[in-house]
Amino acid sequence: MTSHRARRPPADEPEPASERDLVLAAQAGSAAAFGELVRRHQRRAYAVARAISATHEDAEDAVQDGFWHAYRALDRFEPDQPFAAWVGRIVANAALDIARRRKVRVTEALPESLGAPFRDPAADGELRRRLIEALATLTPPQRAVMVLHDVEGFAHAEIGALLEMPEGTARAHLHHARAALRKTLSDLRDGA
Amino acid sequence: MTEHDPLGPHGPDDKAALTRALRRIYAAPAEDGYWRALQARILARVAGEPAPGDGWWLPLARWARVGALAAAAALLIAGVTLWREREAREQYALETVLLQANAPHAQLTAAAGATPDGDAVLRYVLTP
Repeated sequence: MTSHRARRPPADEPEPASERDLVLAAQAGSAAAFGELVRRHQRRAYAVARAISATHEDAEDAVQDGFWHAYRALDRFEPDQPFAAWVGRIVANAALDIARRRKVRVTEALPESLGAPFRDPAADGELRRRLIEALATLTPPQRAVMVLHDVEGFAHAEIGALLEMPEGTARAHLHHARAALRKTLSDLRDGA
Repeated sequence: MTEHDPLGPHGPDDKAALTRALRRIYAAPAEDGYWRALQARILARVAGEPAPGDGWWLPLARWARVGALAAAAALLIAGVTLWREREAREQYALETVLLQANAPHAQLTAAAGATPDGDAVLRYVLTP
């Protein structure tokens, strides 16, 4: 999982504060400390939200909602626990809430909306188009597990914790998602 | 099938191609400016919230222990009062019974018990 790895500071920069210190400072009311926690974890949070959400915009909303909920619940967070896992669960729940609220609209618009606004659709061609259509046939948990595992490189245990499901269930979702994609895309080479 | 099986219908090449396609669809924005802007929006949103150690309920929480002690004391006083009231009611009931023991029909009952036909008289007196 390299897409949201923390930046290594140059040698002349001061050693960054530990996550625990940042959490304690944020709990004491330091906006700067909370801002640093957001900076460190927002990419991973986005990856989690994007795996669940139908669109980039929904993922972005889920990240904002998630950090807002995390800030409001910060008093109850135990600083010795991993902040990333905690905020990841909150962001995942926020993404699921948004997905539920927009279920009907998303179902209608999924093939178009799955594409993020940063891509060049012409560059991806037939595979991309077919893949987007195939992804639309998966259930939200299947799609989320497959994206978190195959795209973001999360382990099954992490996925289970993020999506609040047993690890075995996450494996089963991955199995069914791949089987569904395989079936949907089976004629891709033959038809090409 | 295991999680390491090829994803696509045509073996490892398909899996790599599909994974690349998935990453293009789901990849996070790469520009640092995007992330700075997102961070700023998050912080602007939480800026309207009370700081984590500064909730409106905290003054109430400070009084919670005093309130709990006061409630416990009130419960104790109420319990003692109820207990004493009940004891007084029982005492009154006992005195009432003792007074009734001196009533005429009771004397009659006692007197009847001394006669040879005492049992019959006693049943007559006590039968409503």
